[in-house]
Amino acid sequence: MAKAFKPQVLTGNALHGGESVWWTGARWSDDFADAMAASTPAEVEMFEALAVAPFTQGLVVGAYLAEVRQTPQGLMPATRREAIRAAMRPTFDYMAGAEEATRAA
Amino acid sequence: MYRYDEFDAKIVNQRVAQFRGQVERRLTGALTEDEFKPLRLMNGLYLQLHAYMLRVAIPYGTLSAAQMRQLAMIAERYDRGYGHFTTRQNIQYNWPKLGDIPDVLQHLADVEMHAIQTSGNCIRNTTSDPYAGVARDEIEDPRPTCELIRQWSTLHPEFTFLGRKFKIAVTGAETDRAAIRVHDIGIQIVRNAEGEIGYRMFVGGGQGRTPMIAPVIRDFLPREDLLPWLEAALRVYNLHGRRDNKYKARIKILVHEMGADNYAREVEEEFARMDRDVLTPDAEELARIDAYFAPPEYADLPAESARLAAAKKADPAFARWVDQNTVGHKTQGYAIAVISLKPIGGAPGDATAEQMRAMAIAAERFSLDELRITHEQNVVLPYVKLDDLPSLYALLKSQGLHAANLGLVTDIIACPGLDYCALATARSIPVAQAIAERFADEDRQRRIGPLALKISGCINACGHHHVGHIGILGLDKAGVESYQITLGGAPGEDASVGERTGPGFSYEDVPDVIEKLVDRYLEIRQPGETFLQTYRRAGMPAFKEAIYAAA
Ligand code: SF4
Repeated sequence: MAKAFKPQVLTGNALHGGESVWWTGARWSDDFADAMAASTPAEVEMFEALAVAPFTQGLVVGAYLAEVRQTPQGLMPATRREAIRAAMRPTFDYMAGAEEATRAA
Repeated sequence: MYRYDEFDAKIVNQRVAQFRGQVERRLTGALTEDEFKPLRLMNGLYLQLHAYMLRVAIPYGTLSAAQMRQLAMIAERYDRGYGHFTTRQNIQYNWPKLGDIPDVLQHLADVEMHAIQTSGNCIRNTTSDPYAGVARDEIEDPRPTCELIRQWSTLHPEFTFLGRKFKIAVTGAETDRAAIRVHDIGIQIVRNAEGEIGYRMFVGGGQGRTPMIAPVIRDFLPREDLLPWLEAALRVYNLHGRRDNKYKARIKILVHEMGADNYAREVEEEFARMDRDVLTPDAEELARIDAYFAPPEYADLPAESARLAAAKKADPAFARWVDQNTVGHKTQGYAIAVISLKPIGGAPGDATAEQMRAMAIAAERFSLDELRITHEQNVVLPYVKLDDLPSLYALLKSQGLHAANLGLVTDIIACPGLDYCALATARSIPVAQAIAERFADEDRQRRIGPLALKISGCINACGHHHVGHIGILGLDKAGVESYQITLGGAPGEDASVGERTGPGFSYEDVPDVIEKLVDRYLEIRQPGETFLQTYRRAGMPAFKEAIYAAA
């Protein structure tokens, strides 16, 4: 039996700013919520071609396919790594330590 | 401090101009990413999870106040207002934009700094003892040696494409604060029976996937032979080191596979064969370098400071900070003060632009303009008068830089981990934060005593977990973060690689597990024993039982 099909998004980092971006089907967006999931093998193939296309190369660095899950709330990244990328920031309050320490003084 | 000569300034400025052109061509599409990537890596520019990351070299960890101010300005203008000091005594910016990098590099060049050779398979920034020049147990200041190595290794044509990256560390003291035995080459300045100063050469140490403690390859190397010998040591590696498998490409694998004796023989043969004179620096250049590191003019001060004693009496928190974060200086009336970048709740090694500026001011006012970054991700003020400690503390406190935890359980080394790093398998900073919060009580920390806890977010071991008294390695087990614990590692003159306790623990369980290990130590320690000593005496079973006891 074929392996269960897993939907995927096409993602990478923007060439100029380096921020994470996702392919929406029409453009690159820095919001994971806009991402389009490839939900058929044909769409996955299209994404694979797009990942290495000159058009992508000029805008996005290191484009790759990442697994996602369909949930009642919509698409969710399938791994913690991708979830951290989709949040566009570290999981801890990355400026708080220093600020708090300054306040406490 | 070392100052660039015309030659240094010229190379660095040319490099900025060259990279500016390369960035422009990348942004207009004239260069593909495949073409551009090796170029950006040569200039210290990585791409991480959320953004580019620029790694700036801080040669042997030494900075002037003006340089620290420039780092603050860059953090503010081109980043999100902070930077991360690393275990290689460098600084990393986490959010710069590609188009801004040439300007950032120019600002760095303006204060004699750069990002060259902070990435790629070349000889990286040479690291050193953060107490260089002021330590009581020092034979000689290691920094002139580091500077000589920096000049020799910068853009060295033969060693620009090694099999893997190559790291050198130098110490001038018996107590090894530079972790030289876990470097590709570790250099210890020693004195021989005749009283001459020279070098003991360790080759083939390292961390990462296959941690190894470096063997001594040459017990005493006369001073003038340093560069030719290094060249021979690198040449043998460049010739025989593996290039087929990146995990087996470090020099430690070569030394291990050849055997230390065979490796040493080949190095000595190459050394005997080569034209050594071309590599021996002339006396004038050596004198020029030495002059930059000449000891400052110390004031003639009494050994005790009445002002310090009174301030300690008046403020117990200050007294704790002095006891914990200052170190004996070789000159009477002075102290080495260490600023901890590990406040409870902070990210280890991070400093805001404001804090960097405060540290620059502290250096100007109280430490002859100089700062050092430690591989433990803290900052050293090497020349503080005992009389000035109260004022220094007040300044640090105003910026939240007064954590009194040097060398204690909350002085945790942690790499950026999965919150930033594209190679990570698990998070490290939040794990460090959770542990630090658990042990926040200062009295408890002091009861526990010296304890080096080190965390890496993947097998690359940037967080030095192998040489932590307690090491934590974050892995990915089928999509879930899992943390492997090692015990008994040490980076210094008694270097050892930690032993794994057994199966890993979940993200949530790590603070509990660490607490159980520490409690077990407190239970079984003999008077005066540190965690490491207890572990070495009692062995793994005593600790293992504490964390894997049947439920
Ligand atoms: S140890 Fe791994 S996760 Fe941590 S900084 Fe190094 S490469 Fe990244």
